[in-house]
Order: sequence, then structure tokens, then C-alpha cells
Amino acid sequence: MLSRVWIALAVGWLSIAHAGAVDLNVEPIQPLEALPVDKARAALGRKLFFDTRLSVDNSISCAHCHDIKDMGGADGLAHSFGVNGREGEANSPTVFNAALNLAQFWDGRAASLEAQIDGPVTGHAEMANRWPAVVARLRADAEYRRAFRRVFGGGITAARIKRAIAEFERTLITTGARFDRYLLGDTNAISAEAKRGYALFKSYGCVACHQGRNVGGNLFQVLGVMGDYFADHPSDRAIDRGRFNVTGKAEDMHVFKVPSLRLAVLTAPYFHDGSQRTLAGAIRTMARYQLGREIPERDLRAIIAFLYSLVGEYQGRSLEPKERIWLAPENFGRRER
Amino acid sequence: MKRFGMRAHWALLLMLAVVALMQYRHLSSFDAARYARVHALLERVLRLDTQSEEGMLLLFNRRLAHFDDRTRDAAALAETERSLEQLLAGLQLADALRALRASVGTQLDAIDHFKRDLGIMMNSQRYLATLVEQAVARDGVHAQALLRLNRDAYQLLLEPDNRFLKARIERARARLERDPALAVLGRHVHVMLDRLTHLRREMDTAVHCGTPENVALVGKAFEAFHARYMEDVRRNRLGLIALVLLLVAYMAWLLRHLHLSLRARDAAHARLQEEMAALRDVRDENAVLAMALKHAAEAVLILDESLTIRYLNAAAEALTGYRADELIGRSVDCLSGARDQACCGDMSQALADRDTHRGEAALVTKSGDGLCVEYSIAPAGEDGKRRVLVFHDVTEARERAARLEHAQRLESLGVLAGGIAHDFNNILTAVMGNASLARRALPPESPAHEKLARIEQSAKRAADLCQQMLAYSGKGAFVLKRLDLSRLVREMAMLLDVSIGKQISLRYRLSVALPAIEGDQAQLQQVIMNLITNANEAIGEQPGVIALATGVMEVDRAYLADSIADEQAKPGRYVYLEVSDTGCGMDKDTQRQMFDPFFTTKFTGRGLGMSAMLGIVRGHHGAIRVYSEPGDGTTIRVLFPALAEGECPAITSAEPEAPLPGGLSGLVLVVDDEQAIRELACLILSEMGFDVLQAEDGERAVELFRAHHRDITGVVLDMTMPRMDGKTCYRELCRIDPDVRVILTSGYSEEEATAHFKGKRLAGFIQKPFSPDAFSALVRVAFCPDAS
Repeated sequence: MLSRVWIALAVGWLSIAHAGAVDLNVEPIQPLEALPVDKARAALGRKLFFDTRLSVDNSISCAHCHDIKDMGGADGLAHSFGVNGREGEANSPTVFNAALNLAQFWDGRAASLEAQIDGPVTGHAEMANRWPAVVARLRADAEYRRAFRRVFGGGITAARIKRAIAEFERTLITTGARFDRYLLGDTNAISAEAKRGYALFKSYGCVACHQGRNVGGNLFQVLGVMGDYFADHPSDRAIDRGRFNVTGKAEDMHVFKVPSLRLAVLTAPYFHDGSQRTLAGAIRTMARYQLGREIPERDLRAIIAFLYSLVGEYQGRSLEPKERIWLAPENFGRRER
Repeated sequence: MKRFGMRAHWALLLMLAVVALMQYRHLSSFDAARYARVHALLERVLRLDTQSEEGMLLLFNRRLAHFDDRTRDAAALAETERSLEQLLAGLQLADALRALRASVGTQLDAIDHFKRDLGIMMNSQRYLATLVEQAVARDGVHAQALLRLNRDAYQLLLEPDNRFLKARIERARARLERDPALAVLGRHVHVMLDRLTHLRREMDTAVHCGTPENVALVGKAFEAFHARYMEDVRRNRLGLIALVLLLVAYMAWLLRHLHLSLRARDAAHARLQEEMAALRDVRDENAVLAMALKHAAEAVLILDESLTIRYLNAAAEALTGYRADELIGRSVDCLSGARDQACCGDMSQALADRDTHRGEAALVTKSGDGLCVEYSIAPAGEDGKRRVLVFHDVTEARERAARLEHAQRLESLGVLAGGIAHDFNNILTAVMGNASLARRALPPESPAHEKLARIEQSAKRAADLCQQMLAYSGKGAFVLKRLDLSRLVREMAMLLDVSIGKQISLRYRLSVALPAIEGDQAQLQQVIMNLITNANEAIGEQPGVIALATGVMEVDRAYLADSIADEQAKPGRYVYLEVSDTGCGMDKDTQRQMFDPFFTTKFTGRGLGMSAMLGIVRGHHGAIRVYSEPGDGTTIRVLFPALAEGECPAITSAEPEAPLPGGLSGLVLVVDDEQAIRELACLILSEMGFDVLQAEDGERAVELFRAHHRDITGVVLDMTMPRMDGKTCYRELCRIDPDVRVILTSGYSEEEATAHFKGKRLAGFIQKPFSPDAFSALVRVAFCPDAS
């Protein structure tokens, strides 16, 4: 009886927007912490990440689709393209904080960061290369040979290339977000609007999927919980089948990895196919099909304000944009699908 | 140890070593940590399993608000299970592992779906309150039902398994959905209930997927395996130790064997060294022997069983004219050949026998010449099957022996002839002397005169014949003078020109400034006459040429050895006369016999011409050379020693015929073993007016001389007598009276006879047969020099 009361109290507390101190234990969103990495390996991986020799025609590096300088770790395109301008089907997710995802790719077919690298390097619409060629090309570079010998104590192999790049990716954690500071006790780190947005984020139920330290990325979910998304957006693209492409189970049809919202404000367009051009549109679509609700504009703004507070720092510099373009009226149009 | 055997041992050793090494590696791959690791992993699985169940409960009960832990644990569980599978791969735990994988997979799937469903359910649950509030605010129609529904929904959170509650909620929903305005609400209720069912099922699955049981299964299986494995390892360890011991023992045995075999080998080696040293000695000796053989003067052939030549030395090569490589491999028969004289016997027969043989055989050289060899054959080799044939050339020796024999025969003939002639002379002296005396005693008109004259003539002819025979035997009368051979030849040729056929021309090549020779003119004339006559007869009826040449030449020993010569002929300057004709020539047989007495190719010949010539040439210390080919003509060269300037010939002998004066007196001792001679001499001397004493031999002569030497005017002494010969007698006489006058008589030539008397003062010499006139003339001169 007593436990029930406690539970009720806890639940009640949870459902009330609270502007007071935060109890991390019960918060669905957790602050980001840097991962332990091998610095030398990460440095080598960084070199490789920006090396266009990984692609067949020396034109594309990892940074091409995952621009960590200006594009928040993505490329700002609905579909990424590879060598010779070959367009792919997928919208590049951000490389930032990707180390915290339970799997890589929208369908989760790569279980680790290392495994993910195979996709772009050998993908026809991406780097269109073969590992032996990559290895040979890197072997021709004396500096790489020395670097690999230093870091791995041996020669250049595909596995080592992947490990190095993955190690670098593990350094791409955007710690120090304002919201994280708020979670850790700094009540003034975010605006009241953002706090309200957070409360709404929780009460609407967005946290059902977008939770954890990465605000998502730790489960698979079907796109179309409360409504049939793909009935309304018919397509025969392979990518739309989602996790079904990996497991072949009917229950995994249209199931995708829940993306992280940490840098959502930086990585438009949205969804697996980049079909949502604006953040507001994305949120509205999500609410309709996942929550079965309509979110009024006022609440949208608050949520967007909250989302802006999630953006952290990289290499000491905040990635949070100065302009709140997603709060601009032109990006709030109601004519979103 | 045989080489093959050794290889097998090495191979075996290697195999054992490899097996041991493999075993060791196998053992060393023993992962001691595996046991701990496996158990750690199994524990981890259990822990994660429990954690996930707890986590799910916490999430369900809203104690936890995010899935990070669940996701992390799920990943860990998957990874642990994978590690376990890797670690236990191939250990025959496949079934247990498969079961574990299945249960873990089920669990992970359950967690995955749980995450999906929980959020949805909670969202709907939460939204329900708002929806209810909205619906109540709109029209309070179903307010109570809605509120109750809301309350039930919350209650369901606390009692998720309350089926009664669920049923009531379901009923409420069924009722409410009739109202279209509450469609959304109904929907959410449905979703909530539906997801809740799923969630319960998922949680159930997670709890009851059997992971702990499977973990236990794996653990047990692993334990069993581990026990077996440890046992295996222990056994392998023992096995390895045993193997190593075996290996060591084997190696030890092998080493010992090797050592022994090495020792044996060393011993064998030492023996081999000894044998090699011995062999070297033998080889050395062989080399020496081979060298000796090579340089031996005698020809040595080594034949094998089938009489094929296997070896011949340098002397054999030289002798046979073949090179070694030409003869080796050929049968020895290729050397044997017939020769028509001197050599007899055939080597073949000797070769066929197996004993040691000696003999003479004929050999044919490469150039076809025949040789006579003295050979010896002996079996050789260990089996006695090979033959060693040693021979040397005796051709020359044989020829020389033949020639010697021939010469000896001739000489004996000469001695015979000389002896006969000598006796004949004595008899003829008596016949001639008596006939002469008888004729002188008879009146000239007596019919017996003529008869006696014929007797004298015949006796003279007989004396001539004897003279020729004596000449042949080299003991003819010699009147030595300095002669010019060219002049002699020319004189004789002119004389004989008449008797030479018209169709034959004479050619002269007579040297002008020819050195003088010492010789008997008559005899030399006889020689020249013989030569020309023979040449004439050789040419016969055909046209031909006789060439006469004279000259001087230096003659050496070899030249003389090759010619028919006097034994006392010395090398030096010689004057030669060469007579060549284009006649019928002589074959080798004729040439060999041409100087034999009584040998002739003429129908009417006595065969003494050439033998007489040989005797004359011998007497002159000269030489003859004959070149002749049948059908090609003959050349005969006669050589005489050339006199140096100023040389004087020997003492002259008695002048021929002088009348027989009388009116002398004295005592003469006649010594001769022939009575007839003695009587004849007596007669002649008596007619001359001497008194005569006779002695039949030297001893009697000495006796008589001793008795009457004061009265004896002179002695007529014969050379050849029994009991004391002329020389000894003369010595004795000289001893008695050094001034004794002695006339020597002999059947031999003066030179011959007086050869022994050189230095002694002989009063004179007369050759038998002598004419009474010659005898009396000499007596007069010798014994009464002041009376002539």
C-alpha cells in the first residue's frame, strides 16, 4: 500500500512540469560524458576521416557527408551523394555522438562504429571503393605507414583503418550542452521557454523514444505508431522498409533506429529520407504518427527552444547556432505533410 | 650402418621429433585461463540476464525513465554470448551453446520489443488523462464512465495483471467507441491495453527465456568437457614425456651406433690406407717395371688369352715398324710371316702351347720386310692365360753366321784346293823335271822327243791349273810390282777388244792420276780378263755396253764389312776398278754362289774364274763388291789398297827361264819330304856338278848339316815337312852356321812362304813346280854368285 503511494507520488511528480532542481535519477534525458579514447589512435583516425583517398576517385572523404565543421556532422542534404554525384537514398545522420547509438545506419545493420565504415567506403553511391585499393593507396604513403606502425605496431590493414576512424568518432561527443548543465544543477543554463519545452517534450511523450543521454539512438521504433505513415506516404524504396531489411521479420517492417535529437537543430532535413525540410514539420509529423496528437504552435516553439539547448560543444567551441532559424516564421509553415 | 638404413633412422628420428614438437605445441596451447574466463563469462551472462529483468521491471514501474542501461546491458549480453561462443567453439558444446544463443536471442528480442512498447503504452496512458479531461470538459455525457476508465487505467499500472481490471477497461472502451467524438480516446485505450499485453508477455519472455538454465547447461557441459580435457591434457603430457624419453633413448642408441660404426669406419679407413700404401708401392714397382719394359732393348709383347696384342714396348715398335696403337687389339698372327731361309720354326705352334717356349721364328714388319727373331714365350698373369712374348732380331746375326759358314766353307775348299794343288805341284815338278831332263838327254830326232814335249806341255797345263787353284786359295805365285791399274786395264781391253762382240761397245772412264797399287801384273791381268769376259758373256748376242771405270775412294769399315774382302783389309784409300755390263744380271742365289769354286752358269765352264779372282783380290788385300739385278746388268767393283807415295814393293822373286850352265862344284843339302822332288833336285844339281846330300825332314837335315856344314855350299829347303818344318830347320841351321845359304822351296807363293822369313837372309826362293832351268839358274845365283 505504501509502495503504491510512493509510486503514485513519483508518477505525479513526473507528470508535472517542474522548474526546480533536477533529479537525474528519474530524468529521461541524461547529460553527455566524453568516452575514454586512445588519443593517438583518434588522431590517426581523424587524419583518415578527412582523407579523400578512401574514395575510389580521391574525391570524397568521410567528412564529405559528415561535416563536423559547419554542418553539425551531417551534410544538410535530403539524400547524400557520393562519387560522381551518385545520389543515395538515405539522409546522412550526424556523426556527432554516433558512438552512443545502439547501432549504426537507419536500419541498424551495423552493430558498431567500425562496422559502419564498410558502408560508405564500399557503397556504390558513396565512396565506391574496395578495401584492398584503400589499403594499397594508404600503404603508398610513408607517413601513414609510420603512423600505423606507431599506433598499431604494424602495417596498414582495413581493420586497423576502421578502428582508427571509429576511435576518432568516439571523440566526437558534444559535451557541455546548456541543457546538460541544467541537468547537472545549473538552473539558469537554459531559458524558461526551453524548460517549458522540456516539460512539454516529456508530457507529450516524445521522451518515450527520444530519451537517454543521446536523446534517442538507443532503441528501434516503428514509424507509424498511432497512424500508418507509409500508407500516407507510399513508396517502394528499400530504405523505407527499415529494419525489415536486416531481420526479415514482419514486425520489423518500417522499424527504424530512433535518431538522436542532440544536434537536431543542425541536421535538417529530417527523417530517414530527408523528407522533412523544417524542424517544425518534423515535430508535427512525429506527433501525428507517433503520438496521435496535434501540437499547437506555441508548444512547438517551446519544444524547439528546448531542442536548441541540447546542442553541445566540440573542441571547446559550442556548436549552437546563433540564428534560431527553426523559430523563424517561414520555417513554421503549416503546409507540412 | 648401410646408408639407406641411416636415412630411415634419420627419417624416423625426424618424425618422432616432429610429433613431439606438435604434441608440445598442442599442449602449450592449453589455455589455463580458459576455464576461469568461461566461468566469468557465464556469470556475466547470468548477471546481465538478471539485470535486464530487473531493469525491465524498473522501467515498467517507472523507476527508470530511459533505456540507456538496458541498451548497454543488451549489447553487453550479446557480446558476452558471442565471446562465449568463440571461446567454446569446437569443443563439442554446440548444442548447449545453441540453446544459450537461442535464449539470449529471445531475451534480446524481448528487450528490444519491450523498449518499443513501453514508451507507446506509457504515452497512451498519459494521454488518456488529458483526453478524459478534454472529453469531460466538452460534454459531461460519459463523464463518470470516463473518469472511471481513467482511474482504472492508472490502477492497471499498479496491477498490470489484473484481468478483471482489464476486462472492465475493455468494456468501457467498447461502450465508448460508439461515440465518434471519443474515437481517439478509444484508440488510445486500445493501444494501451494492447501494448500492455505485449509488455507483460515480453517481460515474461525475458524472465522465462531460459537463459539461466541454458547458462547452467553450458556450464555443466563445459565442466564435463573440461574434465575430459584436463584428463586428455594429463595423458598428453605423459605421452609427451614418454615420447621425449623415447626420442632421447633412440638418439642415444643412434649415437652409440654411429660411434661404433665410426670406429669401424676408422679401422676400415686405416686398413684402406695400408692397402693403398701397398697399392702405391705395387704401382710404383709396376711403373718401374713398365719403364724397364719400355726401355728394354728386347721387344716385348703381352698377349691375352685369344692371342690379341695388349701391350708392346718401344723396342717392339721399333722392330716391327708398327706403332703401339696400330697393333694393340690385333692378333699376333699379323706379325708372323714366312722367310725362305735361315729362320725356321713358326711361332704359332709355340703360342698354341701353354708352356714356356724358346725358338726362332719369322716376323713380317709393317713395311713387309722379313725378320728372323729369336723369341721366348711364357704364360703370365694370375690365371696364366696371358702370354709374354719377348724376341730380338737375329736376322743379321743369322746372316752373318750364314756368311761365316759360307766363308768357312770356301776357306775349307780353298785349303782343300791348296793342299791338293800343293801335292800336285810336287808331283808335277817331278813329272815336268824328269820329262825335261829326259828330253834333254834324248837326241832331237828321237820320236820320244815329241812325246816328252807333250808330257811337258800337259804337265805345264796341269801346273797352270794348280796355279789357278792355288791362286783361288790365295797362295799363287806373286811378282809384286808397282802398277798403274788404268794402264793395265787399257792394255787388256785393247787385247780383248777382238774377242768382244761387235754389238757390244766398250766405254772407258779411267782415272788418269791413279795412285799406284802393289800387285802381280799377271794376276791382275787375269782379273781384268775374267771381268771383261764375264761381262761379254753376260750381254750375249744383244747389243750392250761394257763400261770400265777406275778411280780412288775412301773405304771405311762398314764398306768393307758389306763387301767380300780379305780379313786383313783395312779401311783407307783404295783404288777401284769397276766393270759394268748391261747383260742378263744375276739373281741373289747366283750372287751368293758366284765365288764358289766349281760353280758356273756357263755350259762350258769349269767355275774357277771368279773364285780365282776372289783369291787374287784376297791375296792383294782387296775387296770385291757386286751389284746385280736380273735383267738389269751387273756391276763388279774390285778394290785394291792404294800405295802411299814412295812405297816399294816387296822383294822380287826369281826371273823366269834361264839356260842351264854347268861347271860348278860344291855340296848341296836337299831337304824335302817328297822323294821325287829330292831325286829331281839331285839330278839337276848333279848335272850342274854339285854333290848332293838328301834329307827327308828337318831333323835329318839338321843332323846332316851338323856333320857336314863345313863342306856344304848351300841348302835347298822345303817349307812343309813333317817332324820339323822349314822354318824351324832354318833356325837350327842358322844356329850351326849363321852364314848358311838357303834356297827355300814351296808350293805356296813367295810372299806367303817368305813371310815367315822376313829379316833373315834367304839366298833365294823358288815356287813349286819349278822348271829345272829355273832351279839351276837360281842355284847358280844363290850358291855361286861370283861364278855367274
